[in-house]
Amino acid sequence: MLEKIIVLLLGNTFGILNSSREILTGIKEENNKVLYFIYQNFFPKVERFVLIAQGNSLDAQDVFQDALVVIYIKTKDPKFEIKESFESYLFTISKFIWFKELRRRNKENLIFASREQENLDKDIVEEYFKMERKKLIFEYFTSLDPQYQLLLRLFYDKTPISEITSIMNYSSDQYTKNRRNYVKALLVKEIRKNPKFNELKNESFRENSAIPRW
Amino acid sequence: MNRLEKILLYLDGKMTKEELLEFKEQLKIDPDLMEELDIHRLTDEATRRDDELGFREKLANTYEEYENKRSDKPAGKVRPVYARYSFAAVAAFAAGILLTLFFLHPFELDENEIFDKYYKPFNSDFTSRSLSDEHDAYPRKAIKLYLEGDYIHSLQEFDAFFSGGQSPSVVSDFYIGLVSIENEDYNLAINSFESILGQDFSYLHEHAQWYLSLVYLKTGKPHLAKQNLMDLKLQMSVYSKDAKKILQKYPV
Repeated sequence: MLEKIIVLLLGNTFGILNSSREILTGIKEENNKVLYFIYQNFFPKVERFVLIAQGNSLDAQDVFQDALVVIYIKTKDPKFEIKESFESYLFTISKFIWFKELRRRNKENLIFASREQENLDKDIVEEYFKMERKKLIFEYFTSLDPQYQLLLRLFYDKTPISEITSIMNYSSDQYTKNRRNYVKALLVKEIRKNPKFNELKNESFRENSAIPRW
Repeated sequence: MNRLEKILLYLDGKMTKEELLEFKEQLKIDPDLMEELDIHRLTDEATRRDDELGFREKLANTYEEYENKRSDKPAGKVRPVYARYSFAAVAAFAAGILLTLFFLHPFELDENEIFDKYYKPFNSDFTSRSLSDEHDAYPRKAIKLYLEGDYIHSLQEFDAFFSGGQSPSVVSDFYIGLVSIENEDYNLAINSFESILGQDFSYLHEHAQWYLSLVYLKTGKPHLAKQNLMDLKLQMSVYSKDAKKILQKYPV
């Protein structure tokens, strides 16, 4: 009780309890106090839900983190806003993510996941699938030889090619370009072979969509 | 120009106006090309998601802080209503099985057994371009020897490399840590991996953190191991699943 009173007082002091908009701003700015506030006030409900719905405490942490990451990515879009309370918005996303995970694990709960999906904004569902695909790709990326990871990173960081050639100790800029092409092709080929990636690719908000959505 | 080159040139924004127009026309009529382009674009985004990873790390730290201060932890797994009714019947049967197992076989693995179960030498398809360059700023030969399983000579090669005045790098620290595990010099392994984690985020961070966790377990520092395993689990690293398994199954 005392803890809740302190939270309320602190919350008001920092002005973070007033509206969903302020919470979203806090997430966007990665404000530690707001993030703590979110865990303190909203995590128990999500955790309880996951525990009841065949999950464990670690699952609850994953789900809650994923839901916040989806929201975090969306906050970067200036047009993003939510019409309901932050709490119910976060809870709906968490439920949706957990049902998707359950479905992935045992191919059940399809109906529940679909129902949660209907309650969510199309954009946020899209963002979730995109995040999942990116997670999968990142797994492949980190399993690449460290040399290859470094090579791609240097390209992504827009390092001049002559510098990359020197850092990687390659014989010529042309060799560096060829190596990069080879590694990218290798990565994409491996990703395309993964059934989970194809499953995610075919997950569609729109039925019978033939065009990939990312 | 082949298909892949076109895609990469397009994503790099280095196409001429004519090439760009032609490529866009091709995209309209070739769904395969569109899909391939989209995967490449997503791959670029995925491997550049430093913001997202940073945010995840922040969330993981916030969760730790919250969990440490939390007063309303659930006592255990909350079961759905239907499960509660069948619990008593199942529990009696399970108790019998568990008691039998308890007397027949130790329940939990100790830290050494966890290490033995999860430790594997780092695997890489690293290939050396040249081993003859004496002025090479990269300890290629030492790494190659490690990857070939010649750990003693690998360590000697690292010594020789640094005696030539080269400075340690994240890569050399990482492989020295790995070689040290194989040579059972766990203190050196810990120093090397901790040094990597103390520096700016790099692509070897999670690998170093994983091996550091295992070495902490091996050297009787389970609490330090737990902190690192929690991080790995929450960072969605390639070691997440194994970290999760260790945290779930074993009382680290």
